[in-house]
Amino acid sequence: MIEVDSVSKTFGALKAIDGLSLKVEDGTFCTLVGPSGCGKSTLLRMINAMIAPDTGRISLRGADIATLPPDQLRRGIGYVIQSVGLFPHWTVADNILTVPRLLRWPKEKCAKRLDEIVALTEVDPAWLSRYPRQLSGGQQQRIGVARALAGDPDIILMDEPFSALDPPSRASLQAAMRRIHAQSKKTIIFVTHDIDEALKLGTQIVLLNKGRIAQTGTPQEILARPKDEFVETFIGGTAPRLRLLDFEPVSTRMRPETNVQAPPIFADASLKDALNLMLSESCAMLAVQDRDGRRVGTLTVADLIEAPHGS
Amino acid sequence: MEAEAQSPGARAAHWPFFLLLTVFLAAVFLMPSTAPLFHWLFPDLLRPVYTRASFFELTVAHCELVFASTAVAAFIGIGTALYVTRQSGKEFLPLVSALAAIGQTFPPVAVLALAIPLLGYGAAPTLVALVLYSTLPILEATIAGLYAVPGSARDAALGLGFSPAGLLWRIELPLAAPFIFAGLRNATIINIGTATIGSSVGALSLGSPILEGLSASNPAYVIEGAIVVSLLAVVVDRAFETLEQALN
Ligand SMILES: Nc1ncnc2c1ncn2[C@@H]1O[C@H](COP(=O)(O)OP(=O)(O)OP(=O)(O)O)[C@@H](O)[C@H]1O
Ligand SMILES: [Mg+2]
Repeated sequence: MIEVDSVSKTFGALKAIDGLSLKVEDGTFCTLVGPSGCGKSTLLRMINAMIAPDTGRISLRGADIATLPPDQLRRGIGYVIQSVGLFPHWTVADNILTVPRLLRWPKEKCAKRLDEIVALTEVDPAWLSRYPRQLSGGQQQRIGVARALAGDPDIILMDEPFSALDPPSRASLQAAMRRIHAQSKKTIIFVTHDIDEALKLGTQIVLLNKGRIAQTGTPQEILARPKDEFVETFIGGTAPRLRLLDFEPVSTRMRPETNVQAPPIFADASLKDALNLMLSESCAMLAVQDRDGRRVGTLTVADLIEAPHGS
Repeated sequence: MEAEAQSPGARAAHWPFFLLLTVFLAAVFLMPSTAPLFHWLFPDLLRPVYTRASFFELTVAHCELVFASTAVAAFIGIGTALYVTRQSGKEFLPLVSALAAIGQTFPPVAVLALAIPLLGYGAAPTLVALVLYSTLPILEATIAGLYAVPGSARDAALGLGFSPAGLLWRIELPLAAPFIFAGLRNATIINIGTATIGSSVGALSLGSPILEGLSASNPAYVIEGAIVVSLLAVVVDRAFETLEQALN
């Protein structure tokens, strides 16, 4: 567990982080989101001791990070910095293997890990012998992500890791991060200023404003119950009610009737898929089936608007 | 001195290194046999070729002065630059940078004159003057090189768990190396020129024929010394360039 306890950090006259407390349980995919300058990078960099808090403490698995040797601590935490920061005099392969080599992994293990990471992050093997300056900004960013994951850390800090990627590459790396998270149950803290990306990836969303937490919770909680006007405005552009349909399966809203004929949908599909199917089939009703194809109920457009009684 | 030594180097840069080396060695070893030439140029001179020491001896002594002083200067210059760019020495950086900039406008002859009362005559004051003078370009180049290391690379290195020493050896120094190398090259060429002045305080160097030629009104000696020194500068400069290309 990562525990941030009443932490403040002031730069000159500016309070970048203002008495902030936060708990991130093991295995959480935590997305830190907020407007530019709200303190996301500062908070992230305090977790790997790159910035020391003025007051308060940060602990990792119960140990105050100020008491741990910083290089040991950081070798166990994957880190993608906002400005990418590949080493210009090292090849892409050497860049990726930075942490495994700092950890003195044997040669064969490094080679094996390189293959795994290349596959996982969809790095073109032809890039491996190139130098960073020979890659585009988006390609460099992908290597930055590969480098952060290479040492197989339990905690991964990512500072706007996909900001320079084109939409298809971004989607595929987002999917890769989700896969990594689902398979390994790593703790990921992911900074983005894109609320859409935050909602898509996060199991816990932390909305930051002026160095304080405006709201934290699951995507559903944030979408369904924005705490104040700031949160409301921030999520406003995402069509929050529509977005919420993404998180709820058809089974929670269906009625038990099984005799009406209608286009079929699976009970574990999301309400958003259901709405989309209704729109594309131009019908107000769907026949709900389980995965074996057995009819289990009916969903009407009215049920999308308001949950039927007794379900 | 620097400009004089470098401009022929730059012009001849495309000459293959070994051709230049051959010309230089020929000048060193075949100087005695040029007597008829200098006799024809300066018919009034009794001894048209400098013979108090062989040009080989002079060249070796000259190179010893240059090598020793540049090595010490590199040690001091790089060491100081590293110190003032670390956390612990940061407060001295403005002072040291200013000193390095101002120090290079100070004429080497003046340094030499100031060193004599302390160290007497001979190679010692010459070495001190050369070290003092050539430390500055190395110092300046090393600081510039360390400053040219991208902040993001430094940041990433620390963030991924490099120790301060690891950061220095594996990221900062390799990235600053081209600058440091340029500083060493500059300092060496400056020293090759400046070492000639050492002969005015009794150090043996390729300046010996030049100074004796000046005091005894023997222009042939001056020309002979000057030719060998310039060729030495060109050859060494070219050697640095070749090495630089090999390292890239
Ligand atoms: N080293 C520093 N010195 C002075 N001010 C700083 C420093 N680092 C950050 N700040 C200030 O602290 C505030 C928070 O910065 P931070 O980098 O954490 O923002 P951010 O949320 O990551 O923004 P962005 O989305 O633009 O990356 C900003 O106003 C910034 O100007
Ligand atoms: Mg930031």
